[in-house]
Amino acid sequence: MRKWSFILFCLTALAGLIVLVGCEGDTGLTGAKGSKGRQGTAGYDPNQLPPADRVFAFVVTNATENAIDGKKQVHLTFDSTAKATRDTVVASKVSVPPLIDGLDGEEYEWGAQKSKIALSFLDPDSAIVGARDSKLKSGVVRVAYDDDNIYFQFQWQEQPVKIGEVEVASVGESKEPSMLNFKYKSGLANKWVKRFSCEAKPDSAWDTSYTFVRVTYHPICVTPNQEPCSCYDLRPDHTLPGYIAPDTSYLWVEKTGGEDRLVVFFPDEAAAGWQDVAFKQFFGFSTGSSDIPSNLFVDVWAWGAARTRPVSIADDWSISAAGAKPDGGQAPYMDNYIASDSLPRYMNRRDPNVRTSPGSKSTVAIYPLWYFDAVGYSRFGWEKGTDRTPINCYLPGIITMIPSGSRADVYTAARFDNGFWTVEMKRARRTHNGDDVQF
Amino acid sequence: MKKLMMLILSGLVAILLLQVIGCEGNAGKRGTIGDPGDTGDPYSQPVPDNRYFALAIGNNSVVAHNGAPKLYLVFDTLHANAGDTVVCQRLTGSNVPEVDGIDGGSAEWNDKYTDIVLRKGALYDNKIETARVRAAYDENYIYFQVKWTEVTDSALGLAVAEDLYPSKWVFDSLVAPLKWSKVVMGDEDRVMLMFEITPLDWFEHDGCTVTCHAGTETANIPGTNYHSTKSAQAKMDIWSWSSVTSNPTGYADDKYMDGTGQIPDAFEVLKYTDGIKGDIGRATSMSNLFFVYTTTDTSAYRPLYLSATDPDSIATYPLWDWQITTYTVTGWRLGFAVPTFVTTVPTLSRADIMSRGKFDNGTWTVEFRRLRATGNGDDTKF
Repeated sequence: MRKWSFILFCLTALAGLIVLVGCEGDTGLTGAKGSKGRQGTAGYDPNQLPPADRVFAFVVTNATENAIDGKKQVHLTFDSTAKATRDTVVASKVSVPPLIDGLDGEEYEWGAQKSKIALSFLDPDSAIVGARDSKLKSGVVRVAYDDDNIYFQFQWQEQPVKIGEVEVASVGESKEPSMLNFKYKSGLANKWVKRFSCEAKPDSAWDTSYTFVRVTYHPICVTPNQEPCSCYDLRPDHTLPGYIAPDTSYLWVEKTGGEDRLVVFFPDEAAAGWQDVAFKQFFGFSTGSSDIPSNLFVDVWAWGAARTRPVSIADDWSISAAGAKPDGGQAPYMDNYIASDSLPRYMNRRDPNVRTSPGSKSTVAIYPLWYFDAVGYSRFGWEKGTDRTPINCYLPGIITMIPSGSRADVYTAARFDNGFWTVEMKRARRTHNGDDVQF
Repeated sequence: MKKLMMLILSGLVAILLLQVIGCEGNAGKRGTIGDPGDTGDPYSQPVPDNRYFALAIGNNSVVAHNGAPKLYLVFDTLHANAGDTVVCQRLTGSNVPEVDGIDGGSAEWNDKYTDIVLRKGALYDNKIETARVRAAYDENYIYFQVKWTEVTDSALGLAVAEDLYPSKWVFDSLVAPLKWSKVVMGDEDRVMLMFEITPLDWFEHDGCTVTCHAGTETANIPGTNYHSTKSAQAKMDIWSWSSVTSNPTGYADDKYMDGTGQIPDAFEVLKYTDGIKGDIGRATSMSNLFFVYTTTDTSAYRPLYLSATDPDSIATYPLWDWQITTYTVTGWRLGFAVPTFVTTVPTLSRADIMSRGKFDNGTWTVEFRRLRATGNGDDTKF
């Protein structure tokens, strides 16, 4: 047995020795060249990818500049598996774009997702005198997108705005903002315009009977302490000897009140508190850059029932550390008022008196006044009425223009129906303008 | 013997062991890496689907339009230009047709075209029996060219002309109360292309005739004398080129039709009477019309604007909006005339279609270009 064990041991040792010291075989042949790789995946259109989720805010007004209601933070998601809620809007991918016409195409145009959003009074600055709630309590928001564009629909119902029992804004389209008004003050026949130098106290010499009239005195009348100053009588039938009619201009005043507006704010990065800064900057409650974060950028789409509706464009602005400024391009309107002179720049080519208060003329619409219908303002020919029936003459406070450039990026159509506004917007997802957010 | 057997057995085991655990030779060198695969195909917009469309051509008359209510526009390579089939060829390279109303022939269009047989489309015949249609597309745009020759027929009042003076206001002191009469000399020369935006019932069978006499001003009641689709959702895109109201601007008037009543158009003083609406934006023209209601409720009309440079001539068109001046009541002589509409630069979706036409020796050549996808709900998508 030992012998066998020894033999087995020797054989094993021999085998191990052979393994350890035995020659290796020859090196094999070089392998064959690998097969050609598969063709890369086909390219894709980056536009076909859904946009990134983001937040936005929107504000609505009812003909009052200091009364803004809205929603400070709305989440916009492009995740089709999400469900629309009161603060989350789910964008629907559409193959046929919604018709931007201000008519609610509902699910057929916008998809099934719809967010009913509670609105609240957004007091941008409690120090604002006259800030008030416009009582707009709920809105509906829909969003759709395709490869190239994004579409928004906003709906809300108007309510009258009151201060105490006084209604300062009614339910309506409010499409005549900043209307310019001229009217003689009552008591015309019994008043004289007094020369500044006729009074012992020059500071009290303005005749407030004629607050709507600027009088340029004839040099001959500028003689101190000579009464009566008949040469200042404005009455056209004045026949006193030596009467010299003063040169008068009617002073126009801006009617207070605004227009119905929808303003949508898209921050590039939603830093905390961006809304208050943006609201203050855009609505003019605060200006300057000291309180604005240096990295703030907010794209602003501002629709107005008068300023932008006639041209089917929302006014495109942005807010940055430099404050609020319009995007590059021509604005959809221009102001028709020289405040320092209290005079309009332009009037309708059918003026004077396209719209004055008496008779049928009072119903003539003066908005929009297109640039091609505007002619230089003339002070001649305006109706004055009588002391008992003074006449109101009106001119529009803005002239409607054709917008251009980046300022005209946002197509918008709106319709007012039975107290409800429907405002629809469309913009390219990528405008290639640095003053816009990109979707 | 046993020992021998055991020895042999041990030897065999050792050999087997050697076979099992003995070293193999080294593996050969790794082969070289294969060539990389071919680059994936670049992204290209999908080829548009074949579809039906319609064509209508007018000669100085809004009611006499001949056309082809159903044509087949194909984007594949399986069809040829023939009959009512128009092949929309894919353009390669940077060479695209110039939209100038000048027939670039094979250099621009590869000389591929279809001669379409036209037929009377409404009550009156304008005797234009054929039109040559070309179509092409590239990555972003689609192009059309329509070419036809006008026909003279004195019995029908047809003449071969460019028709640039459709109507004018003429001062006539005998016309009460505003002393102006509108003299209509005719209409314009027109061509319209019509496409489905959303499906229209039976369009693939009857073409645009399904929209003829299909509705009323506010509702769709078949058999009445209004153009309309059958529902608000059924929309048809209309590319409307006309020799006076659109051609000077370089755009076709972009419109659409649905089954609802007319939406008031700020640029049309008198509303439409059917379901045709302008796309969002400013039109290529606006009426030069001022109307007042007199005490007897009778409407009275006169021009609203005059030409600043040509206040009393023969109503020269185009009268651009930057050329107009305020209407004046006095100073007119009998027979003075002013245009009945003012040419304006269109905007927004109403300005989607670049278009230019040229009239040469009795033949109109009208060319169109539009984005394949405008992103507007009032436009069809290719």
